[in-house]
Amino acid sequence: MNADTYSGQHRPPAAAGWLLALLLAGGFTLATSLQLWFQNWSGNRLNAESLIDVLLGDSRRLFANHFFVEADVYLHAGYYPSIFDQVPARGKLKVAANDAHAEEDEKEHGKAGHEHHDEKDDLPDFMSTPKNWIERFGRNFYPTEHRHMESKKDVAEILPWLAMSAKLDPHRIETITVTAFWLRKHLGRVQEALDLLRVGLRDNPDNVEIMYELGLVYYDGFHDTVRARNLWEAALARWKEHAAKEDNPDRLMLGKILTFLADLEEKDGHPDMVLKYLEILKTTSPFRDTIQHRIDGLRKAQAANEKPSGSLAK
Amino acid sequence: MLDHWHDGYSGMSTILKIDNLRVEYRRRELGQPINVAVNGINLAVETGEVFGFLGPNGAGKTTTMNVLLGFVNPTSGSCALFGVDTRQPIARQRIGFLPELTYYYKFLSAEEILRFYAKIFRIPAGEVESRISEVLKLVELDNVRKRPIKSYSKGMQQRVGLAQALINKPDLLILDEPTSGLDPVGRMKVREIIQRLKEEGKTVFFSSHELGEVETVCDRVGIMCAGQLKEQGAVADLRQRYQCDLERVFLKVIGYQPAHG
Amino acid sequence: MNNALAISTIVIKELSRRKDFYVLFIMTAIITLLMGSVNFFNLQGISKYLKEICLLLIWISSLAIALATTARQIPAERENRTIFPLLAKPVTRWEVVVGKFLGCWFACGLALGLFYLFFGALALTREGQFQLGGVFQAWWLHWSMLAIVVAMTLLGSVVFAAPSSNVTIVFLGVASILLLGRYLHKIAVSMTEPGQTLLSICYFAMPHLEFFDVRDTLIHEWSVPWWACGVASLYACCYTLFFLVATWVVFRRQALN
Repeated sequence: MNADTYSGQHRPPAAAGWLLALLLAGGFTLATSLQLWFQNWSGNRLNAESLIDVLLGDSRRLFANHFFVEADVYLHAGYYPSIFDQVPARGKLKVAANDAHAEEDEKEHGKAGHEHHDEKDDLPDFMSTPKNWIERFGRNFYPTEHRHMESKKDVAEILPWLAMSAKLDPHRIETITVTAFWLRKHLGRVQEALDLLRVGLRDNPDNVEIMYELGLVYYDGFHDTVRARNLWEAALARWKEHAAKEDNPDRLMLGKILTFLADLEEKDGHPDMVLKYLEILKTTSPFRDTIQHRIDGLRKAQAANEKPSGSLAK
Repeated sequence: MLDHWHDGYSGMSTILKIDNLRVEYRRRELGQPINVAVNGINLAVETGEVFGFLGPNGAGKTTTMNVLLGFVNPTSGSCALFGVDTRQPIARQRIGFLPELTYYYKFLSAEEILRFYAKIFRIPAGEVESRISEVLKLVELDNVRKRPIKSYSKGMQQRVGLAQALINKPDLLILDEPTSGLDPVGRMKVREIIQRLKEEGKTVFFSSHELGEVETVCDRVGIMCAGQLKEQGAVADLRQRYQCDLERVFLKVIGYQPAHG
Repeated sequence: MNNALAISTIVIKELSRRKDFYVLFIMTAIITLLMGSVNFFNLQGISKYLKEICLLLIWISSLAIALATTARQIPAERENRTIFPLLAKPVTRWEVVVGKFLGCWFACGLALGLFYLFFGALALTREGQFQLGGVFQAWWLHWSMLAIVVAMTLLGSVVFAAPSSNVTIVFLGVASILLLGRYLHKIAVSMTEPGQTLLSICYFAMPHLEFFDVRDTLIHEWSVPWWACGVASLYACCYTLFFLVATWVVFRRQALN
């Protein structure tokens, strides 16, 4: 009796069973239509390669930027200004890696005169005199001294952040070129730099900066001047295409490409080509006098070379 | 240490004393009247007595007990245990308290919880284990002492409550409806324990709705209604005075009018 | 003190029998080890990023443990009514507050000790060296900071009705102090009155938890002067005591029924 009463009281009513069946059928029907929509949806998910990309969505750009800055923090051994620190000319901070890149260019191609190479110190001293005891005492607990990490091991420490930044935002060109620079220049990992740039170029076809950096890898790392020239010429062509569309094209990049092309042609003994590149460079660079001086020197040398041949012809 | 204080003329020592106690609760809502939970009660419990504290729900029994235990501060009047104001924690050194429902740390075993309370009472380390075994035997939980309390039945949990109330060999036991929610066997066991404590000369102050149980166990009772102590006295005296059993006495005191004659 | 210590042992037992700590510890270990197994351009011996990730996880886990453990202590005692048998013993409310604080703080210290041991082992295997002084300083300062956080949460637990609201409010407060505390006076300068004065008062009145965050010095191998560690510990003591007294002042007036 008891058992009957119990089962009678607690057995789910038939309506509940029907409702469950209905819900199940509804769920299946919805799933079949949603699946089609899901497959054809043209959102970012289709471009995503990994689950992390899908999960993070557009916030991955934010993380990519943060990791890029983190690399710079590591390069300064943790000494870095926050957005609240009063830094004069904050734009100059950028990533130290960029500045180091610039230094390299200056060392190698200083004769052409690059306008961005005046940033000797990439990180100005942003720590003024402490205003109160809390600030003074607090400085015992975080890095307060400007220090550059220069050893190979220390430089290697920035690469995980750059790699993660590049992974999270494959369209962040600066990350790709800066990472390639450190790999090539300071760690001797030319093949890794090449692989990274190739992937970067695949994700960002026709990108001038990546082409330029790839040229540098072939030129500096593999000593393959033919490929380097091809890449820089391609980069120059793309730059012209982009410049036609943009209001404010990157003249600094143009200067770098032209300088390297001019150097390459000079080494290969093609003075006409050198002069051609320097003439273009003169129109864009603020250091016209320096460039003109170089052009004059080249013309003189060219004239001196032509004289004897001319007399022979006579 | 603390000694029972003598009332001067009866020759007995008073262990628990309530003088003109009044407790008010302010309501949170603005403009609401103040709720008077206890309104000027006077009570004394002597050594070795078993005192039954009776009253319908909402009469003010639990509030009075809360004042005795220091959970609630009196609005006016005073309460003392062993002559010490109940607001002083030392007043609770020689008492054992069993709440209406057992609320203990469920992740501990009976043994661990008793060890914890033994530490609170500063029972010397050498005596702790023997005390724990003693009280666990008394409440018949010795064989499950290492099992977590969450695995105990309600009756077993109630007995853990009794064990913790006895760990310090208290002179006064305050029990808030100790048999509430227990099956007949459980009730019987608790009643036996109270009886045994009475024989040992312990003072017991307990509230209950089980009037038959009160009649069996108690020496004296007090009946509260609407925040006031309406009646108090020895069980036999009350029965004689009202010419009926305790249940009818109780109903008369609280002014209960039966629906049919 | 005897009673407070007895109460604290119950809190430690509770934490050791709950799964929170183990889950967080295993998660930290798994995430760190997974990150450690990633190959970055075939480079060997890179460790700083791993130390950074491990320390970040330790900080998040420690805050989660401290807040989750502390916020429910007094409310759970009241909700489960375990406070009644406890206060029916010769225990003062101050002893309950101190006992709860000590229990949570000791439990956090033990958990933190295990986390930092893992961190030390990680650094040892990756770098072949163990900065004993640095790791000890980081653990000690972190633990000192948790004393303030635990005391703050205890105060919140007697002020706010629900543990969840307490956890949210304290977490937001702690996170804000850690992220902005150092710069608050700089932000104040750029504000107009009365915002400037209010923010300046906040800056000088709040506990500067960022003093205790020495992750950057540990990762980048800077050193923190020992005297500064000592002063920071005293600073933590003062704020902890302040929050504990405030908790007691509120708790002792509360009727338990």
